[in-house]
Amino acid sequence: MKYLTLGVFLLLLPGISSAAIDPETNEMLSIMWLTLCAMIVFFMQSAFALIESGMSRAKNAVNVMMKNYFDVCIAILMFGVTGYAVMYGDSIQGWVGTDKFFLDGVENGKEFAFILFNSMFAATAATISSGAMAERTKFHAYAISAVFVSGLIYPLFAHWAWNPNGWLQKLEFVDFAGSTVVHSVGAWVALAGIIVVGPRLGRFDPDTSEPREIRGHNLMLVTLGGFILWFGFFAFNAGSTNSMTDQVGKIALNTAYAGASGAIGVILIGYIRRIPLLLTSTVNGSLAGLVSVAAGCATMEPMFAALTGLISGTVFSYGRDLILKMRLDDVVDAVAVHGISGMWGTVAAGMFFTDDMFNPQRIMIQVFGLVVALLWTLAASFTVFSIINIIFGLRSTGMHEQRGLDYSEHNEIGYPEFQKSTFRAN
Amino acid sequence: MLLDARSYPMQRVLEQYLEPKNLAYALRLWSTHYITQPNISLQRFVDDFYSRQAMTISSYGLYSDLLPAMMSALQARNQFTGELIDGYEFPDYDLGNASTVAISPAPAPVADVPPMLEPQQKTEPAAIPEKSEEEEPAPPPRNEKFIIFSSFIRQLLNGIHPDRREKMLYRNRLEIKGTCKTEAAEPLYAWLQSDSDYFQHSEIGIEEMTSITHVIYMGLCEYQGPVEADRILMKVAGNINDTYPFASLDINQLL
Repeated sequence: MKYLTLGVFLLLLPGISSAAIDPETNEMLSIMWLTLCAMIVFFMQSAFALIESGMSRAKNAVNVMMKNYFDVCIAILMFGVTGYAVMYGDSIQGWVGTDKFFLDGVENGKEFAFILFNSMFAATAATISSGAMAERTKFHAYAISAVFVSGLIYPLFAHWAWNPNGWLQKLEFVDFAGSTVVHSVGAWVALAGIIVVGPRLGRFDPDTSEPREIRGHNLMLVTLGGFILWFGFFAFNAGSTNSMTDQVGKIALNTAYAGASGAIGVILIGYIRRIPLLLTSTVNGSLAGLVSVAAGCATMEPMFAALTGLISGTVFSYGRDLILKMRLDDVVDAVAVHGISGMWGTVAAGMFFTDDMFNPQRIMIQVFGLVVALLWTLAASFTVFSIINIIFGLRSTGMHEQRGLDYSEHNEIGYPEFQKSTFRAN
Repeated sequence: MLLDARSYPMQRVLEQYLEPKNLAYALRLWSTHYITQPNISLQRFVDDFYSRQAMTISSYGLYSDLLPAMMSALQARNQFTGELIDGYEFPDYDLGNASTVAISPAPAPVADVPPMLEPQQKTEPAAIPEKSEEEEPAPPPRNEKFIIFSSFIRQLLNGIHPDRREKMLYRNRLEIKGTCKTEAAEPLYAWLQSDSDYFQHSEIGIEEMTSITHVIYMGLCEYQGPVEADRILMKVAGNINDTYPFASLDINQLL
């Protein structure tokens, strides 16, 4: 109770230095902080589910929810089985962890909380692809891919960037809360996925290649998801301190600034480009800002966090068009939000590094790190999706896609009273 | 003349079945309550007679005979009203609905018309032809399942602009031909390319009909977009269900 009271007090006043507290109390506070942040980051999964479901057609709402629900289950367990070992096990030359499989040898209380927190990061990386590949991907094929993303693809790059002995870490690659390590990795998995699975039926005109609008069924869900993700990002970024420090306040402020300016960036660029000011774009713009500031939220000043977010709105706007021009069908614009904005955020973390701004060497390391992430993740996930595609088939049949995956994959529908369909339920 | 043409084809069919009193009633009903309406339910029209007179023919038989007559009547109506027809149409059942766009049917193929004879040839005594029944066996009676299937597919195809429809069919030709046995594949593909409203083949059963429907629907999705394709499908399926409420083939079987 004593610790709880103290913890709540300190949570309310994050500026208080943990140095004033005895080590045991500090340890307990760290456990509490990490566990609380892990819970909040877990809540972000509901936001992903809401956003992705809202941006999909009603006939796929259940399928999208199901994928989001299930990949969390897979990711949490897989991270414990192999992910944590690969990420934070004893390193071989900074490349891969070799022990702690099945959490063997983990006894420390704070380490358990740390594992929980990082499990949620793995779940975030795994879930990003579900939205991009929505409405045409088989459920079981997607679930298998989540095993590899959370058990190998994400933890291995995270080992390079975040393990104290990781080779990118030793180059002083800066990615505090995972613009590249979590978000870009998730986005490149999504990119590989949408390349292998192909666009939704009729998404592009076969004669002109012009994209056709396939609108989501519920923008209220999208908006609510945006708010919850924003809320979750406070814990996502601030929790990455791994303990209560005096950095938490600035990190949370930077997070808020970047989210707000990301949305404003999209609106401004929308005016300049004379394109419609869509609610979905605005929500995605703020998410792009939140993603972009994750890398440098602890190492840049608030005004630069705002600038990073503002630019990320622009980056997102053009990034989405680029993806469409490549005839890639990303249902929720995950590649633009998490991938391209994540890249920008990683570069911005180098550019706006406090007391060492615009250092070319630092910026080059940042660029190098994000290129490594792109190459590793794209290659690994492309291989995984291709193998899944050959063995199980990644894509649903055309008729299943048109019927809606709710019917064909789950035999449940999201809105039974309102959905009109001429198709049989099974 | 055109006004008569809106009723005459129906009269020719109905007088074979109805007593004079009921025939007069039927023609009056047709002229005042059906041909003037944008949406015509032939099924309802037929059902009316079964409530007034004991019939020796099945309602389906009468319906089948009336269907081409109704088409002639509707063509005459369109000429009379001078309505421009463009887009696509659901030919038999939903002709004037504001939300329905229509396409004028292509002119019928003229290959069967014999060449004109020279004047001097006309004076030559013509040989009396053999009895045509021996030369050309009568086509098999129309089957209810095929009427529904043909109508459904034709209406789906009419949802695509003719130029794009041709492309769609060509692009999916292997899939289309792969849905049924070789003997049926070519006639099927030829029918899909034509403007005919009816197709029947002994090698095509429900399973093949379902596969054909799927391929056509996928083509529709690709060429019209999934949202528009769904709208067309719902519309067409609704038309079919309204028109053949008690048919032996449930349209859902094809989906």
